[in-house]
Amino acid sequence: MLQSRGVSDLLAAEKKAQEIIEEARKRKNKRIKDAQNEAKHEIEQFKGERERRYKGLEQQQMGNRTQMTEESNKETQTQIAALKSQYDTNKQDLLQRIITLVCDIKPETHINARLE
Amino acid sequence: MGLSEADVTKQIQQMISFIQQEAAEKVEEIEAKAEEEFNIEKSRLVSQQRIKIIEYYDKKEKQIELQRKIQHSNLANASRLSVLKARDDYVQTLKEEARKQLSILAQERSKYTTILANLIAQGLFLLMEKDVTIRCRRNDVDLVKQLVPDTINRYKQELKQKEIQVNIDEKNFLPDDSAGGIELYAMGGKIKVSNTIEARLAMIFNQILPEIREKLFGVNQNRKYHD
Repeated sequence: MLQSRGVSDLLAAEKKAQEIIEEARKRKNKRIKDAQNEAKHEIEQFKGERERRYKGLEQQQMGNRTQMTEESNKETQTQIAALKSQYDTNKQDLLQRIITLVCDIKPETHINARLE
Repeated sequence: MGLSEADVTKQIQQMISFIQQEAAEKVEEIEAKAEEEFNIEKSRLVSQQRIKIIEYYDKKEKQIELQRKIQHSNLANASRLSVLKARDDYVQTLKEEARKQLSILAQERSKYTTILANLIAQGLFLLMEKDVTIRCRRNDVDLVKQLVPDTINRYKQELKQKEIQVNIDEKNFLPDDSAGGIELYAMGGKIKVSNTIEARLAMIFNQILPEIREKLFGVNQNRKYHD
């Protein structure tokens, strides 16, 4: 009787041991599966950060775009205005020169013309 | 029957303890392993995806920079072209102004007479043909008729008596709105000398373009050779 009680106790202990080991194994497998979810979570977060950063740069670029165009146009207009003042200043002299040259006609015989 | 009841119980207790201890150790081992594999797997997945994400966003950010450079370049080009176009417009305006002033000049009888005489003489010297036809504006016909005899004399004098006959075209004329001058034809119209004011203007304007450009736009800083 004693022996059977002892043995059954041992068997019970053995069985309990197996159970807790089995549970530990189950927890382990779950843990490893959790890795996927947690990894996914972390990655999403990282991606979100990069996306925000990118959007920020994009916005900045949009802003710069308009500014760049405005500056360029302003610069161009300044240069063209400078042209006008140059033209107005020099116009008369140049016209004078052109007209003088056009009216200055020198009829000449050809240098190789044979004279009898 | 060597062992007493108490000894048996004790031994069984010990064995049970041993079993429990072993189980506990095994569980600890399993849990440690679980943590380790969890970390490895998580690390692996995260870094794998991270690399892809970084590559993706780096490329996109480079695109933005590229766009910026392209825009900058386009703006610079457009600006340059605008300025060049404006310059060209001013040059053309100048030419038109000159043409207008020359038209007015044609109205000054004395000046125009001298000019016309010289144009005719120059044309004859150029052609050196026996039979020349002069075409002018309708209103200039009389003036040209007046000037031809003297011009012929001059021609004959300089070239030592070369024979020449000069006709004036009374069927075809230069347009009335032209600035004046003459066209000379020889060989039945096969040889033509265009000595109109407009033709002279065009020729001279082109010849002094470098001077015009320099006066209007300043010396070219990019030019290396000046001879």
